[in-house]
Amino acid sequence: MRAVFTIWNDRIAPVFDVAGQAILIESENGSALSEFRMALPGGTVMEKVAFLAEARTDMLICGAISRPARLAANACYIEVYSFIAGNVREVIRACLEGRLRESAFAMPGCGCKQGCHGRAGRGGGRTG
Amino acid sequence: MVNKQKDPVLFDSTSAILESISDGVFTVDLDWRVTSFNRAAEEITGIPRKEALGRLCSEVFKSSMCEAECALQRTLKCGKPVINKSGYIIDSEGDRIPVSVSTAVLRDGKGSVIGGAETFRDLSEIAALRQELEGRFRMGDLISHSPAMRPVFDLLPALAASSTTVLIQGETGTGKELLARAIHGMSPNSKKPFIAVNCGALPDTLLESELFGYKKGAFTGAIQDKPGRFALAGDGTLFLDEIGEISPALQVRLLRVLQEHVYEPLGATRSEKTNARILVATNRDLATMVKKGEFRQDLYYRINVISLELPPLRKRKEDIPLLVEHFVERFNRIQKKNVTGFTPGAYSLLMAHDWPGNVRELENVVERAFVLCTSKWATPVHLPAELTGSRPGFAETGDIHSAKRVMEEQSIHGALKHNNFNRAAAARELGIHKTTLYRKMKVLGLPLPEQNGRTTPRA
Repeated sequence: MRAVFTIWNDRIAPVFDVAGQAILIESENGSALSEFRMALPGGTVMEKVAFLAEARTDMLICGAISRPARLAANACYIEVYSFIAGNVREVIRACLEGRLRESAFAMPGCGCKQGCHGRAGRGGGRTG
Repeated sequence: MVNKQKDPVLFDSTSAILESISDGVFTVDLDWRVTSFNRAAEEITGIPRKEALGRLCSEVFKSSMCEAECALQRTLKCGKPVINKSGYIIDSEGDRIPVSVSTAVLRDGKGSVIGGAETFRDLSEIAALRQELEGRFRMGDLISHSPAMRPVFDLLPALAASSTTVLIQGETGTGKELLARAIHGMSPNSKKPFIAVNCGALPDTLLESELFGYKKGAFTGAIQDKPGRFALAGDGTLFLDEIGEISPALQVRLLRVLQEHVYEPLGATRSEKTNARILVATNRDLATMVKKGEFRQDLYYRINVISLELPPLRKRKEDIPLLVEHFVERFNRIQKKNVTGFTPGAYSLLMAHDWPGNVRELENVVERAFVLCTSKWATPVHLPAELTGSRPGFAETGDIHSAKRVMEEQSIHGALKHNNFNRAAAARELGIHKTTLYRKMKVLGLPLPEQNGRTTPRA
């Protein structure tokens, strides 16, 4: 599993569409195997999504994300956990332990609505 | 705010004002935590005040400016307010809301800085109005106010509503795919996939498997089923660009799909049905190809149910300023620049050029100017040699007189060329008298062409 966390100031970056940095964690059975820090492309949001797809990202954990960007990520088989806020280390730990949906990591105003603070499934036909 | 503890009446009235205005207002402390959040801020962001208070402002506001261009941070750093900076916020539904923000330093009664205040205005309505005004000229990403494009725009809504096959013709770079996307975007199936295939970019066998897909075991290496573009398009739209490039064998298969809406993936034993709408495009003259036997007549009639012709840019030069404005806006956004536009001198050159590469060439020229331009205005010096007539002296000065001169030279040369060097016809095209043309050519130092439209060119 390859999960990308967009980051800013040691926290999850508030807006994916303009995020400049990310951490890629490779994990297996809830344990991190490796970690890379990377710069995201500065162009359009579609370029960021294409970059993540190129990096064979399975899961994106980010703050606010615009609908076209989320749909594009889903179309690239990337599972999106959006409207997440918090210290990046705590979020990574929660992700590995399967606790991302805890309200402690919800951005303000994103506690319960569909498509907000949480998973937006993959768009393609791939499973797993 | 300053005297709130001292003067409860003032505090109450300040609160009442803040609650009644339509601009969103929030304040932060020195740790960037939200300390107040007015009613309009709740309405614009969709975030209840109780959820916003105490949280980091970037995680409440979720703006395009937060990470790299925070106006409040700049204000607190240099002490100067920021007025009407544009950007967008993202609401919980993922909608981008255009906003303009203004910021100020927040001080206590003793003058010490205790945080910052940000006001923001929802510009959605203005953006919608602007779009409505531009609506006369815009459908999807197609932009024009040229009469030459009017027939295309007039037909678009009806075409979008039907499921007929449409043939889009036009020179390279005129925006055939944009037109196809506009038809799809306005159609009832706009939420369904839009799949574009460039038929000229793939060898025949690959194109066949790309279009129709294949079944596991159909050939060596086919280790699993692969859906083709027809299957991927589903109930949406399949756009076949450069249709004139496909082989006669593939033309037969395509004809069958268009007639019967069924096809067989490679290696399949059963036919599959397609409901995709087919749009095709070409920059070749299919009618001539049919006459020469290079394109099947029956397929030509099948795809030519309705045909749209996109005029080349040289026949709709009045669109150049509109397109340039559109590209300037886009490249400012993409390249995070603040270029205001092109100087009159540069515009003259843009208008004088013939644009053989059409809108795509114009887009590339604007992008090139953006790369080179470090000031607010792009000048002739930022344009490529084919537009400036390779006159470095002119390009360096870039003044309006030089631009006028180059424009006149290029216009005269272009008109002579279009009219087979017949000077009377060139003068008519330019809208000037023949003697004025001679005089201008003399002033500009242009030699009289040896060929004059009545004589045949020398070998």
